[in-house]
Amino acid sequence: MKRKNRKTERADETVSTNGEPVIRTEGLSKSYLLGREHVPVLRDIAFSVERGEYVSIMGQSGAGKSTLLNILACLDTPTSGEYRFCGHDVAHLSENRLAELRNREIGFVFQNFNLLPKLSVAANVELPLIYNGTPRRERQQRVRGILERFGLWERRKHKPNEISGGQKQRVAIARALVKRPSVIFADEPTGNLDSRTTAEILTVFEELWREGNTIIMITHEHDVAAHASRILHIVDGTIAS
Amino acid sequence: MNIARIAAMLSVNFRLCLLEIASSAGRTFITTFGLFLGVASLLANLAFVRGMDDDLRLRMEEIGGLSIVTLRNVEPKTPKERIAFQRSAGLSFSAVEQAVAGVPYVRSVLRSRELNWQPFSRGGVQAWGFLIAADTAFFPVYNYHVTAGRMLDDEDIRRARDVCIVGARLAKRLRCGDDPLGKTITVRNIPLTIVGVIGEGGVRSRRDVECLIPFSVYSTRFENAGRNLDEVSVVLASSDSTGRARIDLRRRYAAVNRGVNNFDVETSADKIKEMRTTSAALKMILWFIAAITLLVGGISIMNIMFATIGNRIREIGIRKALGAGGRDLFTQFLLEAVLVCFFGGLPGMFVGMAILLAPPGMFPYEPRLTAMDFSIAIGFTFLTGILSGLFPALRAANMQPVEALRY
Repeated sequence: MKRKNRKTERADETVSTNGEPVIRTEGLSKSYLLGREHVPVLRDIAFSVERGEYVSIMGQSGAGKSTLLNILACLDTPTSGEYRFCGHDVAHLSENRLAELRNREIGFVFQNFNLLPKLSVAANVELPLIYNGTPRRERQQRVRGILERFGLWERRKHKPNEISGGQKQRVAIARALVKRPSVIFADEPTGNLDSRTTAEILTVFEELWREGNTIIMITHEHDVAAHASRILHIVDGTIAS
Repeated sequence: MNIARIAAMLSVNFRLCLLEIASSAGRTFITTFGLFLGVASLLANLAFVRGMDDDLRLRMEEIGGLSIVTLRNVEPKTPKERIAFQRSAGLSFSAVEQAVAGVPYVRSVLRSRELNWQPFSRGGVQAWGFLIAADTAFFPVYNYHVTAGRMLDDEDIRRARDVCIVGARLAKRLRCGDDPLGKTITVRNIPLTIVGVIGEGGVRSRRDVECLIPFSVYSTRFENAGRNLDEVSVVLASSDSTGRARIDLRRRYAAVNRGVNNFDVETSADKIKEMRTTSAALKMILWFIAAITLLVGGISIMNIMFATIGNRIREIGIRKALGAGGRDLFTQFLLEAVLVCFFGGLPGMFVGMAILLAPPGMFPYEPRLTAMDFSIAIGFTFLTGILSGLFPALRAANMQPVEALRY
């Protein structure tokens, strides 16, 4: 919360990440305390993702893929092991500094869209830019640009409950993309969509990848995962292949 | 955190909060109803307290403060007293002057007499007014001020000029127009030229319907002038000597009065003390009522703020995932609490203010509000917002995003 923290954080930012993978984990584990027992959810995860990759993480429900995504997206911290994200040693950062990282480097797309129901489409997309301190004029330009790109500009004043599921997910993707993050994390982004809309959304992700974005997507469907450049399988909390 | 970012965040949160309030206006109103009533009651009570203060000040001025000692006739209570009292020549200015002659702390015997309610006329118009005959010493003692024209002066007294000063309302009732100076009004068949106007207007007071004439006009033109006096006031040089004056005057006047004790000596100290006590007790009750209502209102808001944060944990999670820091959420929730409080507090202020619209005479005191009172009301609304928002805001700020998103 202190100004000083922020300054040191800014200093960290200048650390070059050239050559280093965007994501690198080493012996990453996570366990939850259930009553008195430690229940392991993730065990000894080691992998890395290079800039510009499109990685699918597949696994049965309960395999631990959401937990992994939460840690990768700096929403949670591992119990043990090492995780470097964009050159930062995330495993040992405080919640405040995790918030800083999320703020600058991460775009998040949820399965159930998670748009704020009382805000308009445009205000939902604008929100991350407000949180990272983008000036007003630039905010408006970028919101307009991204909404036009996704064909949502006409819907900008609509509330989330006034648009279709596919449109909602496109708003969510626009919201994740608008601050130009280093990595876009997507947690079952097509889980709540019909097959036609799923195809549409997957096309969007593919386009983003071709433009050079790094994407990490969780899914349990093979044909969804197949769009990625690389597939990681998680079985019983560890990477199988 | 730079200022532009704070401003952007505040403006968006402000809009968001207005949306939140608008979309659940009914619930918000119920939430803030307690505060609404509290602020309304606070302002109304403050208005009364001010009114009471005004009234007290006015009444203290009207009784002439502490430097007055009054000799007053008492009625005989027994046949024996009736016979004894007949030996007395009766209260008169000259007798009192004789009694206080040479007493160092007495400034003067006040030559004045209340001639009670009299019908005044001007042209065909009639109105009742309170007639007082006085000499110039009377005005400073009872804090008379003219709002137009001049006071009666020594020349008026010496020459017994037919002039008067009138209360603004009496002048109005006699249709003297915007400028009553120089107009003539008649009382007891004596035409009097108005040379000055008294009365404050807004505050209800007898002064607004008084008419003061030179004492010499009274003593020369009225029958039985100076006889059958009910009371004679003595002005002291300072209020320190009232206690002594009371004892001295009793003894000295009794001597002049052939030893007859058919009079009382009063000071205004007792009256003022009584007024102050009554006023202070009433004020305390008013403050107490206001404080209790505000407290209940404030607590009910806090309670609801705590309860509603539970419904918004998911929102907190989403915002954190989008890059909101603890600071952002803290600000948002605090701002919301303050805004919600003003949503109840501002209408409450208007309702409280409505008491000022009451027609004069509806309440024993004329309610009045100052900028200070509004500051108190606004300050309290703000404080309630901060207090009721603080803990929910801290909770929101410190929530773990993963746990919040699981809701």
